[in-house]
Amino acid sequence: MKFVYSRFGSKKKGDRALYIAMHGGGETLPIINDQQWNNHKNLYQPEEGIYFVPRSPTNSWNMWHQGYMDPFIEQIIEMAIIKEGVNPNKVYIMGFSAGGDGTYQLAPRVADLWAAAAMSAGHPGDAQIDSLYNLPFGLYMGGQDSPYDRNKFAMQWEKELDTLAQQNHGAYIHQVRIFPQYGHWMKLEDAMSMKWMPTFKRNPIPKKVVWVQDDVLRERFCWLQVDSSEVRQGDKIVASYKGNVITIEESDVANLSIGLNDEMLNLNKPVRLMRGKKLIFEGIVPHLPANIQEDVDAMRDMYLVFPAKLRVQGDSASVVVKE
Amino acid sequence: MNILKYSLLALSSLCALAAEAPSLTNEQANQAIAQSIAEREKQSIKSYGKD
Repeated sequence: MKFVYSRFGSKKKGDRALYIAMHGGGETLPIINDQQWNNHKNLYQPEEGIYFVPRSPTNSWNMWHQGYMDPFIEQIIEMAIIKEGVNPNKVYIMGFSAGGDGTYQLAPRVADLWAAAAMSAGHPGDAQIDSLYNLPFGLYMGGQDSPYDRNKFAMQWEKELDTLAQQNHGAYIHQVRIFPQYGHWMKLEDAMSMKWMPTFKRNPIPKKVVWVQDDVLRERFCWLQVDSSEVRQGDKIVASYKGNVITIEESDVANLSIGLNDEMLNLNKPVRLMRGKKLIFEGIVPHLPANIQEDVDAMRDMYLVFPAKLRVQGDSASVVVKE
Repeated sequence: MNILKYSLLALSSLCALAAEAPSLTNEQANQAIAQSIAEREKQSIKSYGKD
């Protein structure tokens, strides 16, 4: 995959932001997507950070949200950390048009990797809104951008985000701007996202997680882990922790693992795990080297490595112990 | 009798745990995370190339 990137500002290494910006185009001639990529290289400018613009690996309508994107994103972030001193808690995803389609999809699907997201002039397709619980989401749309009902879907998402934010205090933070005077091109008014997004940092261990599986299945999300052979699109898990108690509030999945660290709980004291109202584990959960290695091997960044784990199987749970 | 049985069971589980995987302290776990990530980054640089 081809890419270019530019460096802005003078933040020291280790605390730089990363913006992954996806260009428009889609199901068209490669030369058109190349032009879109070229336009995108200088379309937005952060005050600080690395502005990373990949050329989509394919020329298809869903070029930014096929399964190849997930490992690619993980590699981009890792290399940005190593080579440019990016802070993994300051990684942002954004895109225009087909890149907006990709943002609608990748923001919730990989919400545990982003600090915020900005979607411009895209179509949501079958994107799952629920997983945006902890992810600030910017949505920018021309009011006259009617092809494929993009404007109507934007208004629908605005309503849904408003409702979810009202129902879940402090969650589903969003900024929606629908500019009535514009069609698909918003004359860069959507660039206001470049000031809004960096006001947020990722919390890698949020106290509550809402995870809905997309058509590209994922095995890890924040501090939760499942086996992809045991889940399907639409499966939902809601889990939270408070004090030394973890609660699986809702789960379509029978078996899952829960990663823990000392920032989340006091692991020197017994941990309680509830499935609904039923206590399914109580005890000390040890820090084990094999748990660390497993998460490191899975390309998790340092904030998403959990030394202690519980394995939930139906209505029982036990400490994960591996050689 | 049951109390004794479950106590022995719990004890044997703990012994098995200790034998299979030594537990780390919080500080040791943080050091192990830093070391493992550094090692992975070295391997990644080798795979992707330096520039």
